[in-house]
Amino acid sequence: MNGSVFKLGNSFLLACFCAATVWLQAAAPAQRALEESYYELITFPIPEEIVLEASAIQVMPDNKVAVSTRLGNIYMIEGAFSKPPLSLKYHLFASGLHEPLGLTIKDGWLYATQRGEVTRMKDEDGDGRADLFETVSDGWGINGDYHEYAFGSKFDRENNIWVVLCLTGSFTSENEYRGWGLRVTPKGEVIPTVSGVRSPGGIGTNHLGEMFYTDNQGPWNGTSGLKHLRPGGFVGNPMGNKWYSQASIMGRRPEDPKSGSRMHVEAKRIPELVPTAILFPYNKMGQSASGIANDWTEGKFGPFKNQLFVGDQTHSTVMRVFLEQVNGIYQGALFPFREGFASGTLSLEFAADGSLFVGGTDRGWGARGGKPFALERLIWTGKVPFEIHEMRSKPDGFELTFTHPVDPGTVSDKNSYKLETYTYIYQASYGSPEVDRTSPTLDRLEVSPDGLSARLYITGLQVGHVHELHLPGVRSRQGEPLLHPSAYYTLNAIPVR
Amino acid sequence: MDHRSGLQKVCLQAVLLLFTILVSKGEVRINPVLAVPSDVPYGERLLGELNCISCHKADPLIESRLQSRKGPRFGNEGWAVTAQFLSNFISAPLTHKPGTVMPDLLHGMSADDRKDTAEALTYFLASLQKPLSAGVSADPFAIQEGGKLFHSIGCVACHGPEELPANLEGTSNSDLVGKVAAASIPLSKMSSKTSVGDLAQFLKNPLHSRPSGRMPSLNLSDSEATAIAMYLCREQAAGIDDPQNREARVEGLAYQYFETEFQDDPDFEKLSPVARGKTDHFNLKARKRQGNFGFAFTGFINVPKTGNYTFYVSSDDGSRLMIGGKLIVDHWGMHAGSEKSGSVELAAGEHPVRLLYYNGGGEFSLQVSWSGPELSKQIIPASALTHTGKPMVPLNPLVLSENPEKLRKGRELFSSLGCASCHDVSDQTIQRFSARDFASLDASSKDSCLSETPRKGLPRYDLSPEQRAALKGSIEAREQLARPVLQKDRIPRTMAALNCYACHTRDGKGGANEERLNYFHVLGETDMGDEGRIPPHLTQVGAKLKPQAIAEILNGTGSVRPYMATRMPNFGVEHTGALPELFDKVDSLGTVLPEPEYSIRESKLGRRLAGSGGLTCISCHTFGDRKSLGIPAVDLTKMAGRLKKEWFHRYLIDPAALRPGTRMPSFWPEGVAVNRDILDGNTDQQINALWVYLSKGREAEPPDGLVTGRKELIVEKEPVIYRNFIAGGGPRAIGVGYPEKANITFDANEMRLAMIWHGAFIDASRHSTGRGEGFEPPLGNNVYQLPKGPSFALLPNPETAWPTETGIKAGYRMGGYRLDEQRRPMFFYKFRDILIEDLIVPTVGEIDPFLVRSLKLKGPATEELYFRAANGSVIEQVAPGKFLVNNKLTVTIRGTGEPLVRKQNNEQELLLKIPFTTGEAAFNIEFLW
Repeated sequence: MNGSVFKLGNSFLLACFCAATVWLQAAAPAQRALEESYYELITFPIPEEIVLEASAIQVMPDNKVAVSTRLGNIYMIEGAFSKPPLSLKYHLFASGLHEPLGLTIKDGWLYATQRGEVTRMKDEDGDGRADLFETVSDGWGINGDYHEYAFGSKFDRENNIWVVLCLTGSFTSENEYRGWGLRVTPKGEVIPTVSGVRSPGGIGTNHLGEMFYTDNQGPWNGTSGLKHLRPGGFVGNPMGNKWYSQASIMGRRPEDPKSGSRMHVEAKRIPELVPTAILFPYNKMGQSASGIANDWTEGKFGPFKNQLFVGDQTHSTVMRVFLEQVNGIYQGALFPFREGFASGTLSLEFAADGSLFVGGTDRGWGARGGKPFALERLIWTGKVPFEIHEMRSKPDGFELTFTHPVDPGTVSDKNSYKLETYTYIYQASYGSPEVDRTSPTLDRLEVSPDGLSARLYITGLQVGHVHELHLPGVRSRQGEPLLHPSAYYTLNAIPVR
Repeated sequence: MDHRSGLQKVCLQAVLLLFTILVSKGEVRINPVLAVPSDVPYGERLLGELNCISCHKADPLIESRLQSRKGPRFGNEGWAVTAQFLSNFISAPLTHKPGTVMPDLLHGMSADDRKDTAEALTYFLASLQKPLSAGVSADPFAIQEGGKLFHSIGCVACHGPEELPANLEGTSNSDLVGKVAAASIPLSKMSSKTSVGDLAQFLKNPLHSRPSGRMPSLNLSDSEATAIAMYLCREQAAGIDDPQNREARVEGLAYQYFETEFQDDPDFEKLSPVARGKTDHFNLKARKRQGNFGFAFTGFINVPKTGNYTFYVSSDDGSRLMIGGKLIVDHWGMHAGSEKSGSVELAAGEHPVRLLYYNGGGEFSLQVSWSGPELSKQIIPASALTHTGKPMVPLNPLVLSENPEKLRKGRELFSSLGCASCHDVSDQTIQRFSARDFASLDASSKDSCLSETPRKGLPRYDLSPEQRAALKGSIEAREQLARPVLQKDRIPRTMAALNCYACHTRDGKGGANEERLNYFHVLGETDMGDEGRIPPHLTQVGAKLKPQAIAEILNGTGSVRPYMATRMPNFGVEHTGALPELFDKVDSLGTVLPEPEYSIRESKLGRRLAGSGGLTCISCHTFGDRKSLGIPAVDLTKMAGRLKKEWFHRYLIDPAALRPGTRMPSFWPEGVAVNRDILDGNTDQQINALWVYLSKGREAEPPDGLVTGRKELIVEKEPVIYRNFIAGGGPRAIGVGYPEKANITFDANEMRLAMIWHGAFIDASRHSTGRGEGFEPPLGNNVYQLPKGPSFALLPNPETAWPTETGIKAGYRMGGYRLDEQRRPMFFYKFRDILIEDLIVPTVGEIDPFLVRSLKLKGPATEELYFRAANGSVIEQVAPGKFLVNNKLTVTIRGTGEPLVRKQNNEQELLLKIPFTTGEAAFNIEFLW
């Protein structure tokens, strides 16, 4: 290539790029407006004197909404269910806590997971402010490094609170159980449950009560992911594994993974290693995975009953996850769901009326939302968007179900799809690019008679890879395109049947 | 160091073994990095690296095309190396340093001839250079630091590592070192090649003796160059860590000197020294400023006679003295000049000694004395102190006696063997050898330097069949070599010649491989992912950076990534001077967006976008000297000066497209502004406004949200609780500020009242800005630290030492707190099975407020229960139940129990024996200070 051709190529690219910008400027607000027409976002006004860096949310039995902040306050918000939220009242219920990242309730107590302990509190004299603070458990160490966050779950089936502990810094575990998931029993005992944690961003159960958490891109995490906290498991980062010496219940310390390998390869060698259930491809699906909420509202939030909703702090979004278990290992599909939250999405909580409360902060980690903090509520408008409902792995491909009947013509057309796979390097250094890229062949398509599902027959499925599927050509019977025509399936195992 | 040197040995052996295997198989030959793919034909690269045209005269166009690598310079200009190295290397370069580009010129000679020839050349070369510098005292800390530098600042981007990176130590990656080394530019064994001083001098300015820019300068300070030189020559210091090895010792102490903002409880392990040296005894003479400095002294103390010795440390501020690894005097914390002491039984002979000292500001002093059998109290003299400091001298010395005949012969051989073709000896009288012109070379000749076994007298290179074929190909096609090089092709040529590709990728070529990438680090704990540690790619760099900015980077003044351990080397402007303009021309996008006119309105809107409430660029990006709220990403004030506007525009819209893997999110995803408030969400106008604002550089008004200032928690009508990292109160501190202007910190890890102070409560800005890093000290005045360690203990008798174990390990459990009607917390916790309720009530006093602490205990009866109310160097009883501690704190004990003052470890303790035979007790303690 000589110099002049080269230059021509570049100015041509720039011209395309400018044209694309113009086109997208018109197209993307339309996309946002579309999302808004199915899921309406209400941003709460916040009094000027309150810094509501909403770190955890709990809807109270009296319909007040308890919101904890990173600065250690807990507010009770009245009127959060009114629409528009013009008669909000913020009451300071408690203050001075140490960066709580988990709220839950039981028997009249409000439980908060602080950096150094799980605390329960109560208003004994009825003045609307907590006056008794009891340490439920402090069975882990803390050094004073800012990374030492502790995310606490809601109560599980056995009335335990699960706590996932970030490593001491980005790379080490200086104190007991840093880099672990623990269960805190009703008696306040600590059961070391899962090793291999790096830097959590949220914790929550699926509809079966199995506990999951999000862990962020970094050492031994090629990209962020949703991980299953399987008791006895090791979820990937070996830096905290020295604490096996204290955790006899966990058995012997698993073998260390080999840096530079792939997670599915190491999982064959290390039986304790639980592969990441859902990988969140960096930049495509956020950059800092955060809070988790399971839609338990039986349809009040729309068609996605029992699916998980996961926040992303950097992109200020909420994503949607469909999970299934294959050979005892969780895996599944990740879909874009809703963008445009006002601050960096952190805490997610469903209310019984089917609305999703979303809290945000951008302190220390920038976020697209732009506001330093926010509290919002996402409400289903009653209109069902045309979306992929579920994506299941099959021995020879995938099965997709849709929220509306599809147009068999476009769905049967191979040109309606684009499929590629890739994975990440499993390594001690920070993050990983997408590697080992493949392009499987879409052999055949089959649409069910009711038009609500389609089978994709594929040659070249890749265990351990994200299967990134785009469906730009698929249309509903009404001729609509998918609201979000992409899906990211993490294939840890291929089912036999 | 012991295990380390063992590891090193293993690693070195592994490298050698691997090399031997590969070389014997003929897989790796000359300079393995030459095999890295680049746009330059392999044969041409070899012609340049082997400097073929220095003997085979070529057209000047070919000469400029090949950018040939010249041999090291000898003489006073060069790097002084040992006679043993010269002699060994010359006699068998290919086995002495596998992978070298230096040919074997003596092959085919008989062993004796070979020896004589090498010896004569050694005489001649040694006569040219200045004498080797004298031995430098070995410093184990410098060796360790040199190892860290060698493996992080970029040396191992080209050369082989000698150890695993710290984050992989102890993992199953032991083959990594060998794998990386096998694909590296070989290094000679430095311990016999040169002295620490000469190597350090070479490292500081390698271009001086290696004029071709292959070995760049890494802009090392004197101390860094010495540290790396000591590390590479560390075999010269073998055994210095062995306490039995008295031969390795010299008089006085070794010290490391630190400069940092010292807090109450510093962690010396995490500090890096700014200087090192030796001193005669414990003193602060080597300090370089008046406050916020520290020392770690290390050495051995010679005990004249077995017996009990007392050590006295007088310091301002903190100090700790350790002998034989045992803490003898603990005088830690911020305090005025005062003395503490400790005693220990020591056998006659030498014992390792270490003293840590720091000053946080204000006055400073340090004096260390001892007393013992037949030894009255006196300052520890230099004569009783030694440290490991054996001079490091090259190993296996070869001494050359006076021999003018050999010297003369060497000079002759230097010319006749062709050495002078490659090596400049600054002696014009030496005849340069010349062979057949490049233009008339016969690539197919069976009798040439490219023959598999060249005839005696011709140079023999360790070439693989592939390399030979590549060379022959390029020689055959030499007419093409005389064509001028196109501008766009000049960049990859220079990048290949200087091995820029070791760190940088460009157009899909180059970059460190997965294994070598393990040696690229971020400094400290900066949370920046690969962007923080891997040098940026250079694809389209000319479209990104202004030529002036590239020139600054190349000359060592343009660094914008202070967090990256790997440094941008300086290859010398004679080798890189053309690059800025070349990048500019070759990468040009063709279109140049006009530089927008400065407008106050746009600049102000740009400032809003950069600050909080806008896009909060300052979340990650620093602004001049001001830190960001998170990570130290590239300085906003430098952007407009460095970047081209077109690139800035494209990058902001889709950062990952131009920098794959970046953690910079787009705030205009798919071109659409996420901020709809400023400039109506118009993408072009917003980016333009940012650019206009940033174009003011350091003169721009800082964005909102960056100036954080103080956020005092003001206590008004009711107490304020603050649980956080509080300096002096631990990582689980519970601070309480009372309206009476008295404040406390309760340590919920150790269940103790840790600190009391007057006046303002605390500044919450540290924990409410950025990521909330670090410990915050009290804001008010009269801060008093109460005893560290447990407050309650079971003592079988009143002489039993107060235990040091605290918290859960000592049987304590935190219970929580209840707020009373005034919202004062009453802490409750357990010591074993005894429940303790602990309420602190402040009262406004005559001048300052005072505190009354009420303790109620309930639990299984015991007669051994004690409470420690205070400790200090002096405790006087001033009235019944009333004590003055350190002339500062008055403690009054009321209620049941017997106060008792006792001496322990040169410190006094105020204890209360609690009558607990009924299983219940209550008492008050008043603190006035």
